[in-house]
Amino acid sequence: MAYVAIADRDHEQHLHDPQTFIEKYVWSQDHKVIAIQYGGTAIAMGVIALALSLLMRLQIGFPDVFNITPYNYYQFVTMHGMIMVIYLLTALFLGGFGNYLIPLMCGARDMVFPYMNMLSYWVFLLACIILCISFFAPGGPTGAGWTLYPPQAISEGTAGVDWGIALMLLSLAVFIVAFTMGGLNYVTTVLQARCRGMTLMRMPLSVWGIFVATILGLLAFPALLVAAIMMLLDRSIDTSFFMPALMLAGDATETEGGSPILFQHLFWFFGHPEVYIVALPAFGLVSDLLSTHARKNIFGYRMMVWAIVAIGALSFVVWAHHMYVSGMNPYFGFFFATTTLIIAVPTAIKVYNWVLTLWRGDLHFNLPMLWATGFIFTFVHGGLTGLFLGNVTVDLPLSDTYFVIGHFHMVMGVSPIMVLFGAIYHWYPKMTGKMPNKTLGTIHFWMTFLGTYAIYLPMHYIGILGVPRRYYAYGDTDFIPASAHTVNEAITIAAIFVAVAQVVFFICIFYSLKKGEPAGPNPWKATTLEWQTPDTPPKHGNWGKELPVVHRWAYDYSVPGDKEDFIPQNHPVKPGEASVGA
Amino acid sequence: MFTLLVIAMCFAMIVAFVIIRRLQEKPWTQHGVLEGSQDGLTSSAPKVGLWAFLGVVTSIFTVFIGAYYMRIDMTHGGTATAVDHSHELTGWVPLDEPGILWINTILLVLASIAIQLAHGFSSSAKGRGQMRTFFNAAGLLTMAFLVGQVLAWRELYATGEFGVDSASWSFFVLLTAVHGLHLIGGLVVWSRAAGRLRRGLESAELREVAALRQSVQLCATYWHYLLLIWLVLFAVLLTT
Amino acid sequence: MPVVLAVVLILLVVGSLVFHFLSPWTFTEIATQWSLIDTTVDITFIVCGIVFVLVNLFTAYCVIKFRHRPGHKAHYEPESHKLEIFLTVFTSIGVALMLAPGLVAWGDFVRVPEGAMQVEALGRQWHWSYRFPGEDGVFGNTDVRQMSPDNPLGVDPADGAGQDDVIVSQPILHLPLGQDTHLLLRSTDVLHNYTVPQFRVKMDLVPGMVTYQWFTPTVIGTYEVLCEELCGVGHFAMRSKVVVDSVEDFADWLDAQPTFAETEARPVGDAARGVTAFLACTACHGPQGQGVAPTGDATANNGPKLAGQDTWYLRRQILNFQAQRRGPENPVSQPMMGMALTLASPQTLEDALAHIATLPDEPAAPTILGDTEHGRELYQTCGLCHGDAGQGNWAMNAPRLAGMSDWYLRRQLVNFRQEDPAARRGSHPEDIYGDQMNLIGVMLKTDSAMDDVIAYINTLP
Repeated sequence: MAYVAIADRDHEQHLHDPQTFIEKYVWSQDHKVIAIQYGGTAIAMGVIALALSLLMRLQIGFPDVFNITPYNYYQFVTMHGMIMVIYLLTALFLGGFGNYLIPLMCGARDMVFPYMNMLSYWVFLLACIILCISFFAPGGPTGAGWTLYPPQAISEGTAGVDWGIALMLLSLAVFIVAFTMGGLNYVTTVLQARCRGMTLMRMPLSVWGIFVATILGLLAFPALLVAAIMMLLDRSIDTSFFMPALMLAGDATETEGGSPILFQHLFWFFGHPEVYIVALPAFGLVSDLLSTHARKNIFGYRMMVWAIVAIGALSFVVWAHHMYVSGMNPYFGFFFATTTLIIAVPTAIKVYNWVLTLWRGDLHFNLPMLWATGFIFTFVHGGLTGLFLGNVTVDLPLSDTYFVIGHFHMVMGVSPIMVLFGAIYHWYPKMTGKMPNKTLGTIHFWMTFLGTYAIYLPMHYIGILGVPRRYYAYGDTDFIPASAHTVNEAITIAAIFVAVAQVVFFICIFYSLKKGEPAGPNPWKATTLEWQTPDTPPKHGNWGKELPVVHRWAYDYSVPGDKEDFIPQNHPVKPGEASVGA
Repeated sequence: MFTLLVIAMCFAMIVAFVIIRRLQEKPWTQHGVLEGSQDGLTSSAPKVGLWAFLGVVTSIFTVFIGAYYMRIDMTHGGTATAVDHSHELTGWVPLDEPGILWINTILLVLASIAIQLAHGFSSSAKGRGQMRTFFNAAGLLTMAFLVGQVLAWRELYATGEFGVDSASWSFFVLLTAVHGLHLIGGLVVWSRAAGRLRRGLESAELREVAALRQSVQLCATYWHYLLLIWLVLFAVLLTT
Repeated sequence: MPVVLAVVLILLVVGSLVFHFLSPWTFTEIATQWSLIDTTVDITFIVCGIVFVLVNLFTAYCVIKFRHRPGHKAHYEPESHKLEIFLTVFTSIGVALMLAPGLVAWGDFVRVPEGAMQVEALGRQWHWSYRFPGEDGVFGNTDVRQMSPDNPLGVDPADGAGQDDVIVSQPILHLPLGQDTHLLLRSTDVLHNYTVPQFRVKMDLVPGMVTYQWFTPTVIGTYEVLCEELCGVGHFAMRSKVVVDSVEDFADWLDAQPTFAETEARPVGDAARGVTAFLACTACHGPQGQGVAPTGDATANNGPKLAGQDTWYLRRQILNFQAQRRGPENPVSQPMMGMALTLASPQTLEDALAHIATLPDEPAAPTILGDTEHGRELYQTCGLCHGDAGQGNWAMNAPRLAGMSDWYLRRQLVNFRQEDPAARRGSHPEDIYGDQMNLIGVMLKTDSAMDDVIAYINTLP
């Protein structure tokens, strides 16, 4: 039978029709509810990880004061890292924003597999619960570092080797199942459920970023799953996938022939695309934030799409830049340094285009625009420090120092968080019908932006000095002067400051829910489809009786000859409207 | 390592190819609904979803196979020098694949043929009975395959030469187990469809019938895919 | 707001530059020939610094110039192909500028020069050991299964080439100035990493294979070695030192180190003869080596229990006292330096140790009270070296704690945690194991924490 697009078969698609409170808000198959469930759970996990990071910083900054043992310290380090990367960032960008925005921006009523979408959230929640259980298991959670390298991850000298590591690996496997279910939804919806007129090149960059990130995830997470399964087997039944013949704590092991480097290859084959799974949605979202609030199309849309795709594709061939000093065949260093520095080029193009979007724009410094500008600054910094580490020889003195920590926090922690907050404030009026409180949001911005820079700028410098990472204490190390310890104190204080600043965020969100100004359907005057829904917040099914029809690309801002400074995507072509720039 | 690189290149190319063609357009110049250039794929959503899922499954098997080859490479003492050779003489000990694997392969091929026949009969109202028969046969043959796989494991274990400390045995079990698990997943879907088919379609609504037919068709795709995976796995195991 | 934002951006750019140039936290003084690495870093800083300044200043400019004002409109420009090509080329050149020297230097790093002197560093939780190939210039084979308290590096006695391997007795490596050094790296348990910041190069140690790094020391001095790959809870306490000597001093030092054959030829102790050797020790340590607890404030005549303690640990402490690596820092331990000299001859020492090994091992009477629950939490860390039951572990260089004199444990913890290096046990530059306890000991932040953990140890069988 001939294929007819879902958009044109709207009358055939039977959405789940919830009646009870439980069906509408708990076992919901509505992508918007699922998005909020994902978002809430991810943020809750993030708060836990933030608290863990404070404990770490207290030990590093003030080693004589707080009762933190090395055993616990490494548990904090591990859980902080794993929760932030996977359970907060990946879940929030893809499960949260992906779920909320994709159907709305594509003009669909919902994801194409709503039941599986619902399942994906509950399985994600299960993964979170399993991970949290490891805090209470005998021996506590694993202290192997978020990278979980064997043999130490499954050896007696590491914290949590009885239950912690097994629960961690199990939780990751469950997460991967959840992610796959969600990811199949996002990809299929983008490919199959766009409304009439919505070609791929008319999609906003938010969708492109999330779409390519999802493809990366679907292809990269299996490597983590494979590594996790093999490590679980090594731990539980003494196989030798990663374990060579060892003498652990004076006892010879039964294992032989395994390779710890094999794990690293598998882990980073996943791990590098993972950072782009976090970064690409951020890139897409920030493009839309900048464009909307600058009243100007994103500069070089085609190049931006190309760059997203190129970065996604290249992200699969750079992984061993995490392994320059791993003992792998050193000749690989030439190859991976080259590919890594090549990937800098499309990334730089994106940065130029963001800034060029501001150039000759009509910049409204609403709350989301503050965060978007903060993103540019922090991402430039973080991206540039990546060039140091990607260049294999420069990585030699800097690897495993605080320089690395500074770099990856800037590019994974600070700049994506800038985007997350900007995006939350930006879409808040659509999700709730209220405007976010500008005063509180502005305070939140300045505290976070300045505070995080105060944390991470100096950190790079003590890294250059040679201060190593993952150290519980430094003792009387000659090459580390007392001033470096003072820097650590200052960083800790800045970290506490930033953590407190997040309280302002929660106050703002909840306060605005009750007392925020009513927002109207399109307070930012944006062109993209999600702002054109008949109801705000959008009801189940999103579009009322008729799906939208798209007549133009996503960035018709300040079109010459038009009296408004924006034309929504679903506005028909007016007679006499010229095709500009043809 | 190179296996992973090859995989990576393939992924990179897939991603690039799907998208690259689009980049010629200048979307700000094109106004109107652009009927016909919807560039949606000419398949239904469940089919696209299945193919996306098969992409994920491909990824997991290629990574496993890549890890397998890397492990073989590293067991031969890749970069070890004479300075350290804890049991250096134990290189890769290849498995002697039990003969039952050939029988299992034939079973799986028959299952694919059966399910393809079911697929063939799915579009006509008259062939429903035969569709049901072949569909059921496919499932039973697959179950026989799985039993055969377990027998193969036991046969190897019983020789006493292999156990968890043998990399080749560990990988053999792991690879076949993962493949088997995917088959079991398929059987879960199969059993729901088969159960529905058994209850008879005479009184079913048109929509339900269409959904069932699609289910049979998708199952067929999945089965052929898993057969392909098995053939690749089998070839890899036989040659190492 | 836009003006504020722009000003802040400009201030941040300027501030970052000022911070960079004024920062005292920069590379350590380089002590090897790898200055090309430093040059590459400098080039990278320049290129990245220029980009950082230009992009952010341009952003600040846009923020001010194009801020919304009544009547102001944005310019409609979907793309500028020429500009994008230009920027792509410009960026590619910048990237190539940084990559080129990096790859050249990497080529140098990958190829070890001919005639480089080979040394092996063995890393294991949480210690370093070193080995030279000896006269024949060939390292003997090793086998993890051969490791034992008497053969900690696991050199295979069956391999003739290993007999003349030089086993460095203290975990401190000496190297000759100006000599290309090919440092082979081997681990027997988990991943480690051998790093000397002043040397600029580093490399992981991977169990099951041998990795390497190479460098040429150019500055005489003593440098700290750090482990830089998370290897368990003791990772931060896995330290060593490298001493770069003149060529003559190095030769002298190397000559003084035993060969593997010599370490295997340690005299066998005779317990009967050991009774006499041990006589001088009984006054403080008790006739059965059971220890004599201090009474009140008295600090004389109170030696800890020796019976039941690991022989390798007792041997090491006697040697430490003889060489004054331990003792001078504390008036109570000073007499031990003289007492240890009564066992100056290796045979006498082995005899005494053999005798101690025959003494009855009754648990010492506990004298310290504390919160054993809290102590158990604290002990989670200690137990990773000293054993879950406090039984000690030769592989971790950790002595037995359970059933030994608890007042002595307390005193040693106090000694390890002294703020003043002159009064601290482990501060002698050659006492790496003591220094390790200093690093770990600081996890006990209060006196009551010490009591708690000792009270818990007292409960161990």
